Amino acid sequence: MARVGVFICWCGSNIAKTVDVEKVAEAAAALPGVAYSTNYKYMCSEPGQNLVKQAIAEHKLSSIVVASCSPRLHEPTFRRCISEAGLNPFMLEMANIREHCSWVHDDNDAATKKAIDLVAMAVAKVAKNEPLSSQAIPITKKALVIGGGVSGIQTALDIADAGYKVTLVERTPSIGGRMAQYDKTFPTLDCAACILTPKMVDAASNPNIEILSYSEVENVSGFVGNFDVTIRKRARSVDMSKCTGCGACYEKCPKKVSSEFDCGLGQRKAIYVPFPQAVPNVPVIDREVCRWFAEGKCKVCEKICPTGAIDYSQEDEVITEQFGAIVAATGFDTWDPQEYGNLGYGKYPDVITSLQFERLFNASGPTDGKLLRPSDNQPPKNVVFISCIGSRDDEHGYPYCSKVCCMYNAKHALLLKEKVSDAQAYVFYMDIRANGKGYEEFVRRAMEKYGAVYLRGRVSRIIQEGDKLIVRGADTLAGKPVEIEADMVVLAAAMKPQPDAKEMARKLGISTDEYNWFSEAHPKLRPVEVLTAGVYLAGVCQYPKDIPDSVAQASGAASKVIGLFSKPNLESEPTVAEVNETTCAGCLLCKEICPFSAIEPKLLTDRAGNPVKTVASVNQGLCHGCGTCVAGCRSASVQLKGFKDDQLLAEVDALAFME
Amino acid sequence: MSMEQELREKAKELLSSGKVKVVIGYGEGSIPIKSTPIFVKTPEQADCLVLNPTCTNNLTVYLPQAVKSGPVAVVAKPCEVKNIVELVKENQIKREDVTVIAVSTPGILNDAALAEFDLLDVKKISWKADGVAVTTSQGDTVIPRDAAFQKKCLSCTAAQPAIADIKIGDWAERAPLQDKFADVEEYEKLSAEEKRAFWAGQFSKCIRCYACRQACPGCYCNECFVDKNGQIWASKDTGAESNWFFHMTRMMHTAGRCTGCGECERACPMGIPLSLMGKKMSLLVKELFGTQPGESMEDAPVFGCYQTNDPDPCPE
Repeated sequence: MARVGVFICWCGSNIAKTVDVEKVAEAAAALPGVAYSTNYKYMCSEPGQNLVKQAIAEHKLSSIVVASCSPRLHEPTFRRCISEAGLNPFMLEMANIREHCSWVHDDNDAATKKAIDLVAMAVAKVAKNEPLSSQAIPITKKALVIGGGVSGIQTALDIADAGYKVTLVERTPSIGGRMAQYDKTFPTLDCAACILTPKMVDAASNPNIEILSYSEVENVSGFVGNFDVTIRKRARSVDMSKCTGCGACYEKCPKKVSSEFDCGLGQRKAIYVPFPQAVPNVPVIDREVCRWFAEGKCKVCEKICPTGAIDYSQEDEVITEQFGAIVAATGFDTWDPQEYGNLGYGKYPDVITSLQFERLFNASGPTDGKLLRPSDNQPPKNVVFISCIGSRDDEHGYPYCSKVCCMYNAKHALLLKEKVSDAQAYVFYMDIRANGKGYEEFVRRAMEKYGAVYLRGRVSRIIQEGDKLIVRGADTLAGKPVEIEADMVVLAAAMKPQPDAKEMARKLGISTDEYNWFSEAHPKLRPVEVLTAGVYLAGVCQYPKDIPDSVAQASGAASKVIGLFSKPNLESEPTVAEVNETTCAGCLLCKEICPFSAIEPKLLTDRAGNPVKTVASVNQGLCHGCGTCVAGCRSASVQLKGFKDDQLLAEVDALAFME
Repeated sequence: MSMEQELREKAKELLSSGKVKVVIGYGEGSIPIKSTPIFVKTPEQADCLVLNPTCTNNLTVYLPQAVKSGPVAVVAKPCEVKNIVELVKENQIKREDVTVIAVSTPGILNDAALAEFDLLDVKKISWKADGVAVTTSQGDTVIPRDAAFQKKCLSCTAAQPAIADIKIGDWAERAPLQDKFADVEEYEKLSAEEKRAFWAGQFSKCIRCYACRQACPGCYCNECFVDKNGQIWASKDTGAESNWFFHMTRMMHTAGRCTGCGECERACPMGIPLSLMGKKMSLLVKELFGTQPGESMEDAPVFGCYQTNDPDPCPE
């Protein structure tokens, strides 16, 4: 028979001001099985814990109920406490009389009664608790980083520097991501390529980093410490071991298509590297457009290649590897401003997005760094920048702020003046959000030293008149309409999640918010973790961020991975499922529905070795104790240790039959 | 050759070749209004097999036990082949242990059709082109199809079964005489209160004999939740509430697995329309997931798989 000790915590006044703790302790003392009951001001404090330990020894307690805060907060504390006093840590139940009671009620009598109910339920359950123990699970000390932008690269470099292996998967032909498309970066105006490409090269040459470009994660199974990940290495049609990156193939390739990297402003060949500093510097053949694949003739690249690296017969390769941790650094997409019909994007060639503007600035861009209008290749004089295109717009776009647009608008306004000395920048804005190191100063500099005209207001319409764009809007500070005759209009399109973000989240078993950004475990205290152990976030896949924030989070994610890998083993949760082999009918629905592939069929034999029946069997190392199998089992033959039917029913009965 | 003759020949072949140890089929009952399940173990015994409108039991219920002694052949109507599919998918039997003798009959007699007859005077019940002939000392009476057959037979299209080793009968697809979910549509006209009152009345009749469960090929658990002693989820008393809990839970356990064979309702001595619940569930599964149990060997179990395009409505 269990000897239960009940410890009622005041939590200072958090509980005691609403719940009559004395009365709860008294009521608990009268419950069946309770050998000792008391209350104390701070049960989690050292004297409080000592009180528990002493009572265990003095009253020979076998099971403990602590009625205090959420088990989320102090269950580990009290498990440790009672195990120091010689009890199995799972002989503990927490009755949450703070979050579930004192904090949410103001009627003291009713709250006290509810607290007594909660304690009675915990007493009924703890009396049926069994000692549980955990197992050591080995960790595969190799990390997978999904996404080869600056966040992914930084994560990979930091993990590799700590001495662990990293595989960096990037779905485009080269790592570099969005940052590789940018010209200069705010607020210091470093050239993006000058600070990014050395990191790309570092990643490529680091012996601990394996880069799988032109590859995609297809499936993820397993769990923290041991994920099984299936990766599709798409056929490059170029043998990476033979290619020297000489570029002769794409020089001679006769087929030109619009370049994704240049946001449609320039052209690339059917065989191409997205940009000159690509890593790996090995081209791919775009089979959709390549003449050989489309029409069955050409093969110019094969003829010209000095090393015979072209291989039209290459096929996708699907590999499965084990990883101990996964970092999602999958980045973002940009909103399509065509949704705003009044701005003429997609209709007027000189209305472009900020990302296109970056490409027009970039020395390796379609205009070799000369700022020229797409319509007539002339340098623009008057350029209008419009903020919040799709951001902060409940109706057409997203209600959130894309966070970086204010800063790059200022950057563009400033760089415009540097490139075209007689140019004039106009910036339409809703608010200027420049809260970062050196950011406010930077915006001021664009206004004051570079003469950018900031107009607080929205643009209502853009129309083309001759070779001019007439921009009509409002200056709400001056309280009057404005009309600007512009040569070019640049739209700061919102950042939005990757179109397949939801699908990726499903593969990783992580959740997304209402927009499909990946959800962190806690918005303040666990910003790089997700609720799935062993998966971490870096960069914009979580929420719009600028480069400094992305890199900081990348290093944060890396440190979490390094922390995980620095342990010799993982300790398994002992609260896992177990199968009653006598009643199990072997339908194996549990195997189908287990999210962790922890259930396998097991053949039972008699003593002579003849098969008797097949039952389900739980791999305790893989089981997470989620309880899906328990809910799925029709004959209640799977039970979750620590949450068995009789334990839970005892709890329910305690409440149902309460006087 | 009649279907019955063909069945006997096939059974003899299977048994004499040693391909199966037993053929589960129907034999003559103690009186001609009922056939009875028989287990034929020798080629000689195969002549005991009958096939007529009274062959009603779903024989697939015996399969999980029967296959333990060796390979088995079983006589199964189109609706019952679906049960075999489910049993294979749920690992209760191995496909290679079962020879499926799929029989497409014109239809099976419903018990109520004989209400007007002196049951002890019935000499023979047989199929006729336009229904079922009942032979008594007074001569033959032909009951038309829509009055003679069970509801499930009226909606049967004799669609090609997902698995079959031997096919007997007319497998040409036929137009159903009735929509499968016609009675669900009728039921849906009731208000929530009326539905509740309807089932309260029905379940108050239940005597908890568990005939429904025993007759159901999907109810193969070694220990039913209602028989548990340790963790008592369901009360064993026969109050309407407890009965309600039992039937609703059993129905949830067959959701996405119930093939609509109707055995639960047929076995019920108290006349509770259990297959209406099954059909309602079936219709929900069909509408939500677009699948029907037992129609393909490939479909994943509805409650055992997740697709990103799965609907997520809140059932009323």
